[in-house]
Amino acid sequence: MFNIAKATFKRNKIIAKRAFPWTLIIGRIIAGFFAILFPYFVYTFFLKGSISESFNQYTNQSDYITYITIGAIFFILGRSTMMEVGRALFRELKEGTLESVLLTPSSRIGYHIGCLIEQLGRSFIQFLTMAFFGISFGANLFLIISMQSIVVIILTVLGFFSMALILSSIMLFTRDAYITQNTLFAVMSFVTGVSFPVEFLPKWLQYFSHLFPMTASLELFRSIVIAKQSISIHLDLVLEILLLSGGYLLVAMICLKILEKKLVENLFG
Amino acid sequence: MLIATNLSKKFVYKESKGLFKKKLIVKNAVNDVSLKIESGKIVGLIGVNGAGKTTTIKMLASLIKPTTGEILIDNLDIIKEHKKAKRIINLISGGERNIYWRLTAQENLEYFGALYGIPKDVLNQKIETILEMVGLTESKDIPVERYSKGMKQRLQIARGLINDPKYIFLDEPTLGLDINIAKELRSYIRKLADDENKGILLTTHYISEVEELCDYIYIISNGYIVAEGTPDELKEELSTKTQVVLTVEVLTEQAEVELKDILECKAEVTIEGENIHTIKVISKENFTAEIIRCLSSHNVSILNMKLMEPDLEEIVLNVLRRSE
Repeated sequence: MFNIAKATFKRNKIIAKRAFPWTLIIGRIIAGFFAILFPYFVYTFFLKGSISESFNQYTNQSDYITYITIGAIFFILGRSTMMEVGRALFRELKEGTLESVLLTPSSRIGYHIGCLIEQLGRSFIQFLTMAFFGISFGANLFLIISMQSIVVIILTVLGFFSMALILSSIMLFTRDAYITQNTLFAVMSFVTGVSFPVEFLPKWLQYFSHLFPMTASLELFRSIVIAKQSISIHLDLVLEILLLSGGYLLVAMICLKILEKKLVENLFG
Repeated sequence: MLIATNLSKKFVYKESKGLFKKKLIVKNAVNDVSLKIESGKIVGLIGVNGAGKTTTIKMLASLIKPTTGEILIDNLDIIKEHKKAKRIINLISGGERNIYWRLTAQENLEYFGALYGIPKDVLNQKIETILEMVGLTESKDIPVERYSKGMKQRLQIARGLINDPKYIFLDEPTLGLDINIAKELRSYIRKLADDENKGILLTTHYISEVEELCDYIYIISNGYIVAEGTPDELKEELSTKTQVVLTVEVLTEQAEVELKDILECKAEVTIEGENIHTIKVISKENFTAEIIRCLSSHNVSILNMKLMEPDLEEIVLNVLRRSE
C-alpha cells in the first residue's frame, strides 16, 4: 500500500509540475489572502468592530479575526484536500487512464493516500500563508505551532480524507464533479462553523453539522488556539472526529469497491 | 491455458422516459461464450461492432464480472481471485488513452510497475528491455504528449508488458494506425507469442490481421460464438465457393457443351470472349481436375489458369449474415 502511495505521490507531483504553471501557487496565495481580507472588511467597516454578546459566549471570548482566520484556513485546507483526493479517480476516468489503473492489483487506499500527500504539500503552503495574513490583520494565532495543534491538524486531515473518499464515490456514481463538490463545499462552509458558531443555527442544522468532521475539528482547534485549553478536556471531540472518519472510511471503501465495478460496467455496457 | 466456459453477461441499466420515469433495460451482451487460449498462440475474436467482443475481453481481463460462467487461467479462478489473476494478465486497447500524457515513457512504466508491486531494481531492468523491444529507448525521457500516434500505441504495448503477463488481451491494437506502424505492431505481437510464449487474444476489425496472426479464430455475433476454428478449417468448412478462371484459345462448341454438361447444377459457368475465351467457374466444390480433363480431351489450349482461394473476409461476412 505504501509503495502505491509513494508512486502515486511521485506521479502527481510530476504531473502537477508539468501541467500547472508556478503562477498557480500565487493564485492560491491570493485566494487565501482574500479569504481573510473579506471578513476583515466586514468586521471592521460593517460591524465596526463590535460583535454580539452571544458570539463571545459561544466562542470563549474570541476576537472575530482570529475566529474567522482559523475557519478560513480549515475550510481552504478541507476544500483543496477533498477536491484533489475526491476527484482523483474521476479525473482518471475523464483522461482515459482509469482502465489501466483498475487493471492493476493495486490498493485503492494507497492510491488515494498518494494523492492526499501530494496535495497536502501545496495545502500546507496555503495554510501558512493564510496564517501569516491572519496574523497581519490582527489574529492571535501564536499557539498554532504547538504539538496539540499539530495533532488536531492530523485528525482534521484524516476527517477530510475520509470525506474525500465518500465524495469520490459520489462523483463516480453521478459521473459529475462540479455540482457534487461545489454543493458539498457550500453546505460545509455554512454549517460547520467556518465564519460563525454553529450555535447560531437552528437546532436541526446543528445536529446536521455534526455529520462533518470539520465541525468538531474547528471547535477543537479553536479551543486549543483561542481558549488555550488542553486537548485532554475535549476527548469527546477527538472521539467524534475519529468515529466519523472511521465510519466514512469504511463506507467509502465499500462504496468504491461496488462503484468501481458498476463504473466499468457502465462504461462498457 | 486460459479456459473460459459458458460466459454470459447481462447489463441492466435505466433509460429515461420523461422527467421522472425510468425504464429498466436488460441487455444480454454475451451469451454462453466458451473459448481457450494456449500459451504461445494467438487467438482471434472477430465480429461486428456490438457483437460482444469488448465485453468478453473485459471479462477475461477481470474488469467486468460475468453474470454466469467460469474463467480459469492456469487453474486459477479469476472471478474469485481477481487480484492474483491481475498479476498474470494484461489488456492493451487501441487508441491513445490509458497512458499519462504528461509523463515520459520511463515515468509511465515506472508508475505502472509500482502499481504491480514490482521491486525497483527488477523494474528498471524490465523497463529497459521493454523500451528496447518497442523501440522507444531513444525517446523514453520525452513527455508522451509529444509522441506520435504510433509511439503512443507502442508505449501502450510496453505498459501491457510491464507485469510480464502470461496472457495478453489486445483490443483492436492497430486501430487508426498507419499501415507501416500497424505492420510493425503485428510483428511485435507475433514475436510476443513466438519468442515470449505469451497467450494472446486479439480482437480486430481487420480480417487481414487475423489471417496473418491468428492460430485460431472465434467468430462472435450478437453475443454468441457462431463459428470457430483455425483459419484453414474455417475456410474449408464455411467456404461457399471456389472460383476457377481459365483463359483458353479457341473454345470449340463441342467442348463448351460438354463442359456445361459436366458442371450442370454443380457450378455457375460464365464464358466470355471470341478468339480468346475466359471461362469462369464458381462452385462449392473444386472442379479444376474435371475442367482440365474436358478441355484437354477437346485439344483446347489453356493459356492461363487462376484458382481463387476462399476469402476469409467473405467467409466471416457469410457467417455473420447467416447468424443475424
